[in-house]
Order: sequence, then C-alpha cells, then structure tokens
Amino acid sequence: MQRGLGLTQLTLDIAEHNAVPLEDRPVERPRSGHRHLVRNGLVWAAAVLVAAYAASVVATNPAMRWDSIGKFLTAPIILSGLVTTLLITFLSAVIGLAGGLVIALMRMSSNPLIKTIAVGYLGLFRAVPLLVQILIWYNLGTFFPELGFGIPFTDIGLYGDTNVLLSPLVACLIAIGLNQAAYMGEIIRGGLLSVQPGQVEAAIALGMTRAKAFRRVIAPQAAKSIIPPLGNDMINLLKATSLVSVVGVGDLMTRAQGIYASNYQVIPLLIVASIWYLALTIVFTFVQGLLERRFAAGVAR
Amino acid sequence: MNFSPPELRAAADAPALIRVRNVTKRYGANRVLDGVNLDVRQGEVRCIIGPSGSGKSTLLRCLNALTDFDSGAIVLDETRVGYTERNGVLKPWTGREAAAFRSRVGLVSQHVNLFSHRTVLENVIEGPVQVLGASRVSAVRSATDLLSRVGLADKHDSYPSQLSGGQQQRAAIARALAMNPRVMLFDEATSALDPELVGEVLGVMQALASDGMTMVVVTHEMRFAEEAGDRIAVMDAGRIIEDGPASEVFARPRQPRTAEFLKDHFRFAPAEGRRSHA
Repeated sequence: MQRGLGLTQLTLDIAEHNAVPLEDRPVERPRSGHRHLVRNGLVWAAAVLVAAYAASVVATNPAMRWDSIGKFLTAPIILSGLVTTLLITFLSAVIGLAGGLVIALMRMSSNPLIKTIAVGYLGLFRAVPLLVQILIWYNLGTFFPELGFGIPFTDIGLYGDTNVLLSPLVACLIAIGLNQAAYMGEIIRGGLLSVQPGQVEAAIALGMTRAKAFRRVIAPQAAKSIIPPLGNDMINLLKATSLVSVVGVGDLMTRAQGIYASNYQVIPLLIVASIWYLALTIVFTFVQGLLERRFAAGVAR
Repeated sequence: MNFSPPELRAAADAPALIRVRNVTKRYGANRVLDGVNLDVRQGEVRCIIGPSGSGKSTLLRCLNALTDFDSGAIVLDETRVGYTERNGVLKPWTGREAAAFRSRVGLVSQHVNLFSHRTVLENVIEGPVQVLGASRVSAVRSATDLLSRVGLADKHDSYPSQLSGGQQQRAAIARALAMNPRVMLFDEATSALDPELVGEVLGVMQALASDGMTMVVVTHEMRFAEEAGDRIAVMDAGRIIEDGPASEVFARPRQPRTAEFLKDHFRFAPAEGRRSHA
C-alpha cells in the first residue's frame, strides 16, 4: 500500500518534471559562498597547523643554533662568497647570452655545415653534466700543459701555462658559460621562431636591411617570449654556480662548507646559504616580472 | 585627399614607370612566371586579376625585389631591379642597395603585418625615422596627417591587436605612404578581411588612386578593378593572357579563359555587380 502510493507519487513527479521544458528546469549553481568559506577556512586551518608544527620542530631543535645562523648570515666571509656567486652568475650569463645568440643563429642557418656545428655543440654541452664539465676545464692543465694561439704543426705562436691561464675561477666561468650558451641558444632560437615571418617581411619591404630588421622588429618581439624561460634559466644558473665549490672557487657554497667543516654546524650553515639563494631568486623573479611588463607591449589585453 | 601632386598624373604617351620584360621564374619544374611583359604608366591604377596560383603575387613581389626571378628584366622608375650600374657593368645589388630600392616602393600585403609591438603611430613613423633618417618630429607630423586621411586620427596610441582588420589594413597603407613611395603595390589587400570591412579599405585605395598615385593592385575585388582600375592584366598559369582597358576586359574578354574566370567570379555576385558583363 505504502509502496504503491510512493510509486504513484514518483510517476506523477516524473510526469510533472517532464512537462517542464528543458530550458526552464532549475540547474545546480556553484556552491554558495557560505559553504565555500567554511571549506576554505578548514583547508587554511589545516595548512597553518602543519606549518606551525614543522616550524616548531625545526625551531626548537637544539642542533638548530639560531644564534649562529644570525651570526653567519652577514659574516664578511659569507658576504664575500655571495659576491663571488653573483660575479660568476653575471659573467656566465653574459657569456651564455652572447654564445647562445651565436648558436641560435648558426642553428637556424641555411648552411648545412654551420647548422651541423651548432647541433653538435648543443648535443655535446647539454649531454655532459655541468659538474663534469667544470672538472674537465679545471683539470685541463694535466692534459694540455700549455694553451695559446699559433700555427698548427709548428712551434710558432703565443703559448702560456694552462694552470696560470685557467685559474679555478676562469675555468668555472668557461665551463658554466659554454654550458649556458647551449641552453640559452635553444631559448633564443625558440624566441626567434615565435616571431611571425610576415613581421620580418614587412620590415624588409619597408626598406630595412636585414640587420636593422633584426634590431628593430625581430629582437624586441622575440624578447617577449624569451623572458619567461630566460628567467627560469637564470635561476637555474644561480643555483648551478654552487657546483664550483668542488674546485674551491670561493663562492657562497664553498664558504658555507668551509665554515661547517671547522665548526660542524652543517645544517645551520646550509640554511644560511639557502636563505641567500632564496633571497637572490626572489630578486631574479622580480626582475623577470619587470622585464615581462616592459616587453608586453602589443599583447592583446 | 591629396596623396601626391596632380602634375604627377598620367600622361598616356610618357614612357612607362614600370617595365616588365619577359620575366620568368621557376620553382623546380614549375614555371611560376612564364615570360611576363607588363607596363605601368605614371599615375595609373594597374589591376592584375586571375585565379589563385596564377603568379599574380609572385609578379608583385618581383617588382619590389622581395623575390628574385630567373630571367628577363624589370625597370621601375629608371632603376633596373636587382642591379646597379658600376663602370658600365650591371652588378647585382648589395643588401643595402636592395633595401634602399624597397624604401621607394610601398607594399600592402594580404596579411596585415603591422609591427605588433608598436603603436599605430610608431608603426607609421618607423620607416621614415629608421630608414629615411627623418627627424622624429617631422615624421610624427606627417604621420598624423596620413592617419587622419585614412580615418585613424583617434587611433595613434592603439596597438594593432586593438584594431579591427580594416583599421589595421588602413594603418598599413598609411605606413607605406609615409615613405613617400613612387609606386604602391597592393597584394590582395582586402582578401583576408571580413566582408563588411572590405569597403573602408577599398575606399582609401580609391581615394589614393584619384590623387594620382601609381598603383599596381592584385585583387579579387572585380568591382574595384572595374571602377578604379585603368588597365587590367589577366594572369593564368604564369602568363598574362589578356591585357587592356578595364572596360574592355570586363565587357568583351577576348580569351575564353578570361571569360570563364570572370564567370566563376560573378556567379554569386549580386545582379548589380554584374550589370555590364552580361
């Protein structure tokens, strides 16, 4: 009886429901603001709790030595390491950008020989780990005791002692710079490919030489799509400079290692280094944002 | 509108400003241009029509040396395209010479290629300042004038992406005119536009024509060719198959291929557009 009535009711409901045209039936709207807030609040509370617990575990750890972190963060020796890190980053970025532009243009050349050279360069320098490349350049003196310019197969020319010419810093700059050139080359090539061929043709048709068209039209437009991956690459480069600690160039990482080797406060000094790498990365990201805005002109907004 | 002084207007018996002689161009075995001859007089609107792939655009691009050709000769404004005479010998152009030549020929192409990273005004002054070495102040002054003539006085600071296709194409015309070209080349300037935007661009072209600008117009707009064109060349398979005054070519095509092409073109045209070719 009960069941029968329910069934009739259901049938009636369905009949009534079907009588409403599809376009007039109510739809479920996205969750109302109230419930949304509660759910969001719960997620936030959980996140804060986890973060607070993690922080308390780290902060109250007796091995943490907050006093030494504070002391070493601005210690002259750490700051001089920071300057060296920035110097290596800046100079390898310059070598990388210049080399990368050459590699990108060679890679896009219609001359098969030039193109092959660029492809070979990319293959080699991207395949060998940067750490290995740094060690090779650093130890080059054991392989070629003398380096210089001269006429092949003769003794005529200018030569110098490899170990003098390739100081640890120079060896690192060459290693990181050439490695950067490979990655930068692909980034720049990607940017150049993103410029529509019609833009170049318009510049040529206007009477610009190829060089002027590159400067006035291709480069500024390519810059727009180069900047995001470039920013990525710069941050990678900054952190990759810590690899030079294997050959004892006095960068931030080398300095931190040097200190904890004598006072055994390993984690605090690694945190000091981390804080500086984090700070520099924040600065780099900020600069990337500025550049992106600078070159955003003409993007549909 | 007054884009060029009236004394430059056509004189039918003057030597042609552009002379194309037996020009041939191949891509592999394919003859894109197969012995083309064409004259364009000073102040004339010379339309080139014909089916897709007949070589119209290639011919136009040969005229401003954007494309080279295999044999034959083109003379534009008493310059042998592609060569400079040195010690009585015609030597191939350097990149700089080619660029200098192109600065004297305006090109408006099908795909609007305003520099996307520059505003409309910057687009128009780019050529005069960067190529001709004009001062920024005087370039801005003449650009302002040109932009108001093409109806874009209020769009100076807009970026191309903020304009409609028709506005972009009118800005492109202003950019080409800013170079004070001897000749304007139009390569299907309206065929990438939405139908309702075609008229405003053709209007600017028509005004330019009535001011006496020498124009070579590759187009699919038969009514424009008929009304604004002085002489029409019909191309097919790399050859010019018919060449004559606009009125004759449309009213009494001599070649069956021309008649067929025109018939295909007017098949869906409104009756009014067909009035004289029945």
